[in-house]
Amino acid sequence: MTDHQQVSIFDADQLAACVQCGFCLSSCPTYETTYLEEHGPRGRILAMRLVEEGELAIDDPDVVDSLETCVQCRACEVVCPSLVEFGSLMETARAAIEEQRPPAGVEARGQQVLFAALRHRWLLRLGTTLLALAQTLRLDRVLPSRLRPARRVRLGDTLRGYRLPPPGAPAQGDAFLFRGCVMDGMFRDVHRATAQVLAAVGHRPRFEPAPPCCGALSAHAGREQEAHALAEATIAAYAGTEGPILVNSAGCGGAMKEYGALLGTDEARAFSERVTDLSELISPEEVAARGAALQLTLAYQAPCHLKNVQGLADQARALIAAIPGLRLLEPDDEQQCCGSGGIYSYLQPAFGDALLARKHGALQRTGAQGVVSGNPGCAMQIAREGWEVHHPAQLLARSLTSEVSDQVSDPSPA
Amino acid sequence: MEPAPMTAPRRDAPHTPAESALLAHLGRALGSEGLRASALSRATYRRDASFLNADPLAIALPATRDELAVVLRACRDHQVPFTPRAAGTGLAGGATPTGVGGVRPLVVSVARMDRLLELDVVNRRAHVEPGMVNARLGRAVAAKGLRFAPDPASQIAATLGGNVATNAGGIHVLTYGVMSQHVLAVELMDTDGEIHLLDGRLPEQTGLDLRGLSVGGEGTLGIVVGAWLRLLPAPPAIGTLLAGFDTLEAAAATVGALVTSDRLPDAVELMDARAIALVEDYAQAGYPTDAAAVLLLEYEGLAAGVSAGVDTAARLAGEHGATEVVRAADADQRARIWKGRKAVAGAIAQQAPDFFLQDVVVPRSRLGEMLDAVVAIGEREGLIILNVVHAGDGNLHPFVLFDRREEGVLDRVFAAGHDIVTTALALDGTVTGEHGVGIEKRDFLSQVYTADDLAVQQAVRRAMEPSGLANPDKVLPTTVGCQEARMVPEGAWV
Repeated sequence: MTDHQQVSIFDADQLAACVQCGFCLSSCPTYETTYLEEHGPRGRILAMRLVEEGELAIDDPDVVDSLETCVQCRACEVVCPSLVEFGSLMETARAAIEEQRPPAGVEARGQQVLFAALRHRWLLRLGTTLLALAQTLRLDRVLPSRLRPARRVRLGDTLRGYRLPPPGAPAQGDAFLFRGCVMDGMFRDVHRATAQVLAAVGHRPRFEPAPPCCGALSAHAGREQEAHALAEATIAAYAGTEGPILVNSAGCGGAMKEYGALLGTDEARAFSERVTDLSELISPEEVAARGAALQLTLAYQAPCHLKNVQGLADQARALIAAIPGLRLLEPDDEQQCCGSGGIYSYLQPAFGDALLARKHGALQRTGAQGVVSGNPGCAMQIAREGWEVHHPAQLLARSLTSEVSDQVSDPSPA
Repeated sequence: MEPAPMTAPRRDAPHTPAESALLAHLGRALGSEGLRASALSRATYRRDASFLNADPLAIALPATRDELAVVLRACRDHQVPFTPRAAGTGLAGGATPTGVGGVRPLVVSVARMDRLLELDVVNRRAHVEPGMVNARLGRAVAAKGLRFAPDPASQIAATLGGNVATNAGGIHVLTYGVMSQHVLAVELMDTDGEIHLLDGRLPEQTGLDLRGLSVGGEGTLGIVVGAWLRLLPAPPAIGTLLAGFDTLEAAAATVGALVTSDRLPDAVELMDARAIALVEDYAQAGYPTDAAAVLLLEYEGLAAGVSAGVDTAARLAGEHGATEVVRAADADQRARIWKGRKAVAGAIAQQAPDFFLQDVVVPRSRLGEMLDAVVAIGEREGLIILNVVHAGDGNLHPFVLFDRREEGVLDRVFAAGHDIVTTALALDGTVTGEHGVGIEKRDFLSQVYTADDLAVQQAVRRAMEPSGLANPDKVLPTTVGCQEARMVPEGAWV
């Protein structure tokens, strides 16, 4: 046995919390793909312990494979009887791997461009516009399928700004719609629908401030400093404002609710308190009483970071199911991860595709016409199998507003 | 088998010719997905959920019966022992890969064989593969109005093959019995790759009960490749009651009165004062924090019977001096009462990173004495021990709390564990209720059985599994050829 390193990487108390009971195994989508301990939470924590003890190195290829194949869905945290902070341990592990062996070659340049785009709105908009153009001209088909976004971006949608929808109920004050990076670039229709829903229940939707990115993708990729900087910039952007910060991407919402834990400041904790999902702002009773009927049969897909990090999967399901006429079906896969995981499906195509195939099978078995899911990563991943994926905000907007309209004058710039 | 030296091979020991031949053979048959031998892979299979650990040669993961047969025949041909496993949630070291004769074993994981092969509603039976998770069978049969009764605490991850192999239990053992009562037939594969059906698939058995023999065999008689399991109708009504007591003796006496009454509860759980304090602080389940013990009682069945049962329990608890009796009015209140019991591990995590979970049984009439003795053992070793008890069948689960990073603590933990077992034996009890014997309890069997008894068991084992390669060194005490497991887990002070 050789000592590979003496520097401590992990928080000793976090690592000590695991008692190796194995209760996590059946919750782990990657363990259920290979049924190997090293692809499950217990084996990954053991890998971290062996690194900490010097038995294996953090850049040992098997250790790297074990730790990088985690999709970071955090389903293991929910079932862990010993309350292991697995997500935090995994982010530490990713940062240590990133430091020891940063990505090289084409992959490195691709990631540099991607993460730069998350930090700079103009670069992201340029990329999205080019994508929309390419899709219009069908040039995107030259890309290999795992690099080809399944979501169709419309040029007009990308270039058009946001408009304030007409108020629909007595005023309840401002609600700040967090635009984010991918959502702002590719899901402006979801933002518009969210604004309509907010207005319909009496909030005044605000599209500004618009910090570039919440930093979740950076944190998951082990880009620790970048994640901290983006979190701090996001908090600073909302300084001096009051009211809920409405986040309609489950991954961003989960990350922003954990700013308090990430940065450890009172300011960050206070910010996290303001972060709100639609299901925390609207009651199923209100939707059942006011909503118009939608004759749809849809399968519910709970985004992992809504279910496992925010703990809102049941609440969000109840809100959608309250829409009159809508039949919401539950897949039989225990709501395991679809394999999107931010950029995981690009980095780990073997696991990403296996998880998607299982999700596709479970969705098919429901017999539903389409899927409802409130996270951009899930939406794009599931769409790869040809599913029409609705965001909850789009369904609520259709049900709560008699006519879908955004023709009112817009005080906010794009 | 020839006597062999008691030497544990080094972790990076070079392969013997037999090991090399086996690995080459299996590599061709299973591919890199089905055979793993990297340093990390081997390290992740050193142990189950116990602390006992040893180094395996490699891990084979057959996905089908045919692949499994290839693996077992290869072990036979190359004389390499094997350790069956799936989720590795066992607590007695049954899946710890100790070898024999200085040869490291091959871990054979059946986790990939996880299908529900047949759900036969009319005959109320399910045919399952060994890697199927217990709770998944429960959900599948619930959709048909049925239930699978064995519900070990690990059921969200533990597999049915392991439940069969360890004769697992759960909180409903009192009326429904342990796993053995729910296994109609076992399909056992031997080292020739032959599958033996033990016995019929009907509840009525004839001839010698080989099925009963194979349940609880812990992989020493072959590998469970399938089981026909008995399903029961889901109960139409459930009634739950919480009772607090000033003394452990009063709680124990109430248990005695309940099980001799005409309304036998389906679950009787007891938690002592330390457990109550920790759990209440963490989960706010509504337990009386000044009580020395609480009982959680549950009745299942037709509404009238359940109601009569809860009335009887409330009356008997009152007669034995209960300071507080709460009947769950609805499903939410029932969930809250059980929340405390289910939150024990989480509550412990707030207090100490590690726990050593014991499993002993005493006659119900000696429960009070045993509980007092456990508290005294904890005080003597300077350790916090919580008592969580399947009280109806006298099955204690003392949780010994510790932090493995504390110098010398493991010696005290294992001393406490040893004394808990010997105390149970002195009170006419036995060494395990439901976790199995594995390695942890193996040497205690000499105190449970006479030499003659053990010789007969050994002879039966040899008759059913003559090669001696199936999970050697487990369950029955041996005098030769054992490769001792280490007791020290990763991250412990050494």
